Amino acid sequence: MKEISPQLQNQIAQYQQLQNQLQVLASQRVQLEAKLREIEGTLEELNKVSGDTPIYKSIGMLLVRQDDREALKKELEEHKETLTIRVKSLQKQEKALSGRYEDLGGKIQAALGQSPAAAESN
Amino acid sequence: MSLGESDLRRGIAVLDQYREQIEALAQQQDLVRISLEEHLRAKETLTQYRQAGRGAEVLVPIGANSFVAAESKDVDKAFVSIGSDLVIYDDIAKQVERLDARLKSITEAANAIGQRLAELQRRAEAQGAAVQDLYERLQAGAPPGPRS
Repeated sequence: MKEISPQLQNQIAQYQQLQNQLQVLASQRVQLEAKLREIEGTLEELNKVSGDTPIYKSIGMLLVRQDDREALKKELEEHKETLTIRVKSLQKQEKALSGRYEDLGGKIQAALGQSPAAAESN
Repeated sequence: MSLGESDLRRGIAVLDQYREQIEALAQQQDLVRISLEEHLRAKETLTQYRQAGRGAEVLVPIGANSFVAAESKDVDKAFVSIGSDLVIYDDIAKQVERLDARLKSITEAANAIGQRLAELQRRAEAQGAAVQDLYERLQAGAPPGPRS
């Protein structure tokens, strides 16, 4: 069984690294998107409930009454905006990394295709 | 390594990937099931609490299967979360509606996961059979046949 070249080994290591980075980014994005959906749902509920319905905020072990509804909405809107920016940033990073990942994958496939023995040992 | 052995290794790698995906989905399914049960329990508790009426003796769970005695006070209202660390104190009928809406969405998620899981299991079974077939052919010294 022939050994694969150090250059190809390096490319495969980079490829695996990119794959891990992509998985981490995707996982972060999914979490942020879930949080974003939660905030959107909360804002929707806040807009539906009548003005005299008491609202409490969970702070540690306590539920603290919140009378300033507009301040609550503003806080949620700001949080939503921040999350939207972070999701977009992660999407951009994912897109850039995916391009590099596919590119490198193509190179590795081509290199392995040129050298069947190398392909077998991979 | 022969071409057949290489195919076998690839086939096993694909099978392993299917198994990992199935395991991850099964874990998600468990979480969704727990959430579904929790919401159903909350809905049932709200309904029964209202039916118990004002002044009924109730036992409030405090963890470790322990309880403190209490008396129901305002049986028409309850606290339910609306997400983002916010809880609202509203009529039980409306709170039940909120829980129902969430139950619907959780049930839809559970169904989607179930379908995806069934599809993956079907593919994994087919892949397993193909790998087994290839393995037997290699053991018998026959050339690998067409694969599905």
